[in-house]
Amino acid sequence: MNSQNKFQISLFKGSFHLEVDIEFQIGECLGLWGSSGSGKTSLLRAVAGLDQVGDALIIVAGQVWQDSSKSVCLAPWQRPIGYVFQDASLFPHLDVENNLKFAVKRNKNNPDPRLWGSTLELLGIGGLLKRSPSLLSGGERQRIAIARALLTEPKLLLLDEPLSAIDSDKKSEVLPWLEQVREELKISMVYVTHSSQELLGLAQSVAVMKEGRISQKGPLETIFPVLAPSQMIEQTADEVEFEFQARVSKVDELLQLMRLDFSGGSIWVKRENFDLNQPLIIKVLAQEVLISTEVTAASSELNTFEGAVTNISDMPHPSEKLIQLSSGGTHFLSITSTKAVNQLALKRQMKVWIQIRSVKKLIKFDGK
Amino acid sequence: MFFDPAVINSLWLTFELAGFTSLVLLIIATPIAWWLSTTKNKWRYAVKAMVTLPLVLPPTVLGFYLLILMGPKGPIGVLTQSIGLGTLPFTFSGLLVASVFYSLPFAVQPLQSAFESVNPRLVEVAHTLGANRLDAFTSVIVPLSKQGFGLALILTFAHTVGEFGIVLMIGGNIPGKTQVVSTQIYNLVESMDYTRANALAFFLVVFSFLVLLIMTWLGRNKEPTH
Repeated sequence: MNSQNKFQISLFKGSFHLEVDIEFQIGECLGLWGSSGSGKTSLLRAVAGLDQVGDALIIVAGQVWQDSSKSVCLAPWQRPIGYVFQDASLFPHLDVENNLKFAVKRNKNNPDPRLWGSTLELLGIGGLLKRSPSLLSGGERQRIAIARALLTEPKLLLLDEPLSAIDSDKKSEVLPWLEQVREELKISMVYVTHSSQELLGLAQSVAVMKEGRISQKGPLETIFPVLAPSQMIEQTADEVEFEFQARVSKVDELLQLMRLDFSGGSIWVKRENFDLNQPLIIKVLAQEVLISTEVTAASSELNTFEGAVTNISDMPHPSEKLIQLSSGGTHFLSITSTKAVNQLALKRQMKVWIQIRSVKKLIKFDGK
Repeated sequence: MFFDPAVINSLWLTFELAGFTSLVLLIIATPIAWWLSTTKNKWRYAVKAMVTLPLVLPPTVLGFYLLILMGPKGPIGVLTQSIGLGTLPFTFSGLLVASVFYSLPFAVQPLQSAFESVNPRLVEVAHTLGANRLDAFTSVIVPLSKQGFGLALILTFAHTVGEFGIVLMIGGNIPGKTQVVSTQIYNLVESMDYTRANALAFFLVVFSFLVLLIMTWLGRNKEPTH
């Protein structure tokens, strides 16, 4: 009858009051954004059944997990759920392989024997099986926690700030893998974060939480522009950066350059010691992304491709604007002077030429 | 003198009693400790105090009440008689029951603190992976509390070896039946046999020292290493 996921929860915890009524599509990744103390984690714990909630209606993939009006309430271990905590929480007495097997043994659906191999591959952890959790990097630990959750074949994956314990330059050890999980498995996900940039490649819709309530909800495209500036507010122009996935497609031995292809275009960068076809994460400073409305002779040669403006928002300093762009599904950020924005008459949906002047960093990414 | 049958008998009986007491306590104390470490029940403080009582009570008090309870007119005595076991005082079984009560806090305390030191998040993770309460207990809590179990076993074993008062009251010091090392030393001293008393006493000192040495060695990981 109802093919959506539905959380309707009312919860009092001391003076804190959580009052949420939210629906999202099966297979959709819902970003739950809010500052700390806004009730994001309380909501996840209630959905997982880890905290007793007196008044709730929780339906996931058409299955009622909790219905207080009918006194139905499944225990956490009866809910087909995957829960990834901030700190990964791997079992310290088990190696990686046995952490994963802990989940497999308790999978009640007679899992396909191929699930094991495909999950290891999906998160790139095949080489870590014999390691002890204490010898892993933060990113590796989180990937194993995600794999462990997926091996129970959950109907809903809850991620509670999975990147918050990881250094910002190591986040790309996890984020692209999560995107891959969403692409391949089409599993319903709730991703809790207070970083709007993490939502960029992942969430399809976003709910903003404030003081225990959902203050806004909508597709990423409409909510993200509201969030992005509030994230940037602390950052000055030279700190804003973004990243996207690409692949080494060609090497120019003579000029010592290599070409990186991404969905939406390609760029040439200085040659580094990567194999052909090596997938990479490209980190770029938003200042190094230029926008023009026509191709000039100079820009046509290098690193220029066509795209569209998806949003324009203010930066802390009035002389600059933050432009969000997309090309073939890849998202970019550019910091452009307000003067240039006015001269080019930039507005949303406008077709423009995007030029990436330089990349900050290339990181090896062994995904598919 | 260790080939003296009376000495061998009392040594054997002592270790048999200590061994059985430790095993029985492991079975009884584990659920009590687990309950105490997780419950928010308002009676938990009363239960904790009850469990700890043997630590402060003179063994004669505990022995006195057990003697009455297990005697021919006490409720436990009536029960054991009705199922054909006779009365327990002055038998090995009676000694075992008394030892279990007497060493209860020595098993519950280390287990409870071991259970409490396991990150509760790990239990929640186990739940979300499909493990019910018992499963999470046996597959997460128990392996992470190995030290606590080791400590509880050693403490109850050593404490039972060191019993005197309660053994005397419930067991009665019957050679070959309920006479353990501590009561035998008492007998030897009474009969002025200082040589043999000294040998047995010295044996207990060495034994206890070794036990404590093992315990501190087992506990070494708890000290911060960085």
